[in-house]
Amino acid sequence: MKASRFLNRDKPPGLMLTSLLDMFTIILIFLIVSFEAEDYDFKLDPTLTLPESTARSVFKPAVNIAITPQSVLVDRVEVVKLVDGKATPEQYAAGEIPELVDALQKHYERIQAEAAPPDEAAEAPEQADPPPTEGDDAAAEDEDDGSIILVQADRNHDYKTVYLVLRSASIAGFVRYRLAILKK
Amino acid sequence: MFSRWHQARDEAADINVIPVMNLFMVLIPFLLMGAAFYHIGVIPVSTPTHNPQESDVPKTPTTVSCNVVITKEKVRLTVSSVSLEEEELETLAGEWPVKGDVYPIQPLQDHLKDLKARYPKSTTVIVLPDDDIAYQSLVGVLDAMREFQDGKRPDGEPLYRELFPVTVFSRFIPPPPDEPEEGAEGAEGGEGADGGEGADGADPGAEAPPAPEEEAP
Repeated sequence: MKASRFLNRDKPPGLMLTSLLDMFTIILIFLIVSFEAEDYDFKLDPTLTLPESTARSVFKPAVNIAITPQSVLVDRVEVVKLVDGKATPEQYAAGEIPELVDALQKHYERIQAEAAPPDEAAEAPEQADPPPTEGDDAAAEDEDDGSIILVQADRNHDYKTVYLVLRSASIAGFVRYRLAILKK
Repeated sequence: MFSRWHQARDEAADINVIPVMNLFMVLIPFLLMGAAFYHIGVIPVSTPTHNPQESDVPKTPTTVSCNVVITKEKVRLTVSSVSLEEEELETLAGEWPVKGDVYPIQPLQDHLKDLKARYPKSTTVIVLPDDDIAYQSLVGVLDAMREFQDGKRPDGEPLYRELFPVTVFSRFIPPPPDEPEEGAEGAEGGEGADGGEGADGADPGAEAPPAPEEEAP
């Protein structure tokens, strides 16, 4: 015993890292798989819980509205406060949230300006085309202009509040929405 | 000779894993920060746009448009079409009570399957929930109306078939107190207060749903 200890005196004690390495490898593989499924730049608001759904439509970036129990946020900027997830009676009566309409109109104008080619944008006031008669065609042209709202709403919100926000977005120019859900 | 062999064996037994561990220690926190522990999806929906010249009643004879009224007591489905008679539209309608907090998802879906089988090109459903319907309940009903699972693929993955994937949200305008109850229901338009006549029943009026957003494959 003493002799063997004496013989190994110069050698530092070995640390068994093999099992640790195995564990790290497994964690690394799991995280790489999760990383692959990451959803763009989406930041889920920590104060809300999305509803669960079987919808399989893929996530795409859009103007982000979060309806939390405390407030309505547009791209993570608080626009209007809510009380227990409800707007004021005046806002319900008016059918819109004016602050939200103003904020979204700015986004809508920016998106339209970005979507229009520079030369077309310059000529736009002179060559104002008549509005398309077929709604489908108009929507098809707008399909890729980015004027879509991504709505994060808490699963316990009532429809009245969600619809009020959608309607405010509609008044601002957005008519198509993506409701964010947690996949089952 | 023997000592050289012994030395070589000792060296081969000691693989230096410290650099690998260092690499892992850097990689794991980085990946942890970016990992998605939940998977986000979306449900594409729209709101009605007011266009007096347009109606959301489908123009082609082979399509119908469904109107689903969701209350805390019942789910009511009505159908609109330009080519079908009023009596036939009434036979296509349905109503199911809500038992407790459980919405009649399955009978609604079965009914929509029948409708889809009869009018396969139909895609649009106009949803008119009550004001106090919880968002989660609404999403559950939307799931039942959008698609259904129809067996499995050869690779074992579930096979989904489309029902009515184009969802348009609308809302009742409360009837004025001095007007009679009958015919007072209407759907609110998407622009201003001059919305359509009503999305309920066989003639939703001047509410034209926008074109559907593209669906995931």
